[in-house]
Amino acid sequence: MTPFVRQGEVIVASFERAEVEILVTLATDVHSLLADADRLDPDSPSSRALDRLLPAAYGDGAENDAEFRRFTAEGLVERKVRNAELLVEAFGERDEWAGTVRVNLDAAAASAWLRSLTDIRLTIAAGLGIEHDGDQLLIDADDRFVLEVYGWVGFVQESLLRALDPDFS
Amino acid sequence: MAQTLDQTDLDAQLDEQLQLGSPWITLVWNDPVNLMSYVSYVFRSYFGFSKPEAERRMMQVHTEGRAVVATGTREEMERHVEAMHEFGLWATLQKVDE
Repeated sequence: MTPFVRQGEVIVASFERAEVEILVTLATDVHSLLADADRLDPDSPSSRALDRLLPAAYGDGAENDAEFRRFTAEGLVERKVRNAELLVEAFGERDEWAGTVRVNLDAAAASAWLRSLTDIRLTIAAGLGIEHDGDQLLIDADDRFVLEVYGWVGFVQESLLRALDPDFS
Repeated sequence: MAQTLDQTDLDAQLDEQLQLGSPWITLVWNDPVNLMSYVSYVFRSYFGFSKPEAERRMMQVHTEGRAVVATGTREEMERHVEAMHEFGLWATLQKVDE
């Protein structure tokens, strides 16, 4: 990947095809997780990821939390799904992915990307059990690749923030 | 300078809200996932904080574990919390005296 740079009204970057496949897979995973929100086993890793995407608003573990989720979950899920779709759509048609794939993000697309990259990182972190600062240092060797992907998605996000405004980073 | 002014404005705003009987706050909590630069971006772009003010509150989240980012009525705070959740930040609301 080449870091994001501003070109007039848009922010551009080029990704290797393998990187595009990874981002599209991750965004699709978040999309599926949100689509299945109503059918998740409460003790599953997916359910823990969903709890991080839709956290408790009051933290009382009772009526207020349940009511807030009842009133907001549908809209939040819809917007998060849309953000994931916008991330995938920025890469264009799959059969045209060759060599490097260039993305041009306008302000709205950049904003959707930032949110979707966050949802992706939150979902990976829930799967890896990253709950406190420093937890990523305790990851099993088996999960090292996933941890590297997690770090790389953070790099993509940081690069986008820096291109949007050098002050953000 | 901007930092001091922002803080004074906020304190005045908080006092006013308390007198109006709308003592609810929105808190953003530390989490190990979100980048410091992203949290600062969210505070600037959504709440309209100046850069120093956004950085100050982001650092407060990072070092103290949480920061107050808004005060007002319960309904307003619920709207802010929902927006923070869309950004992927861990936010809650509560009454001031809790």
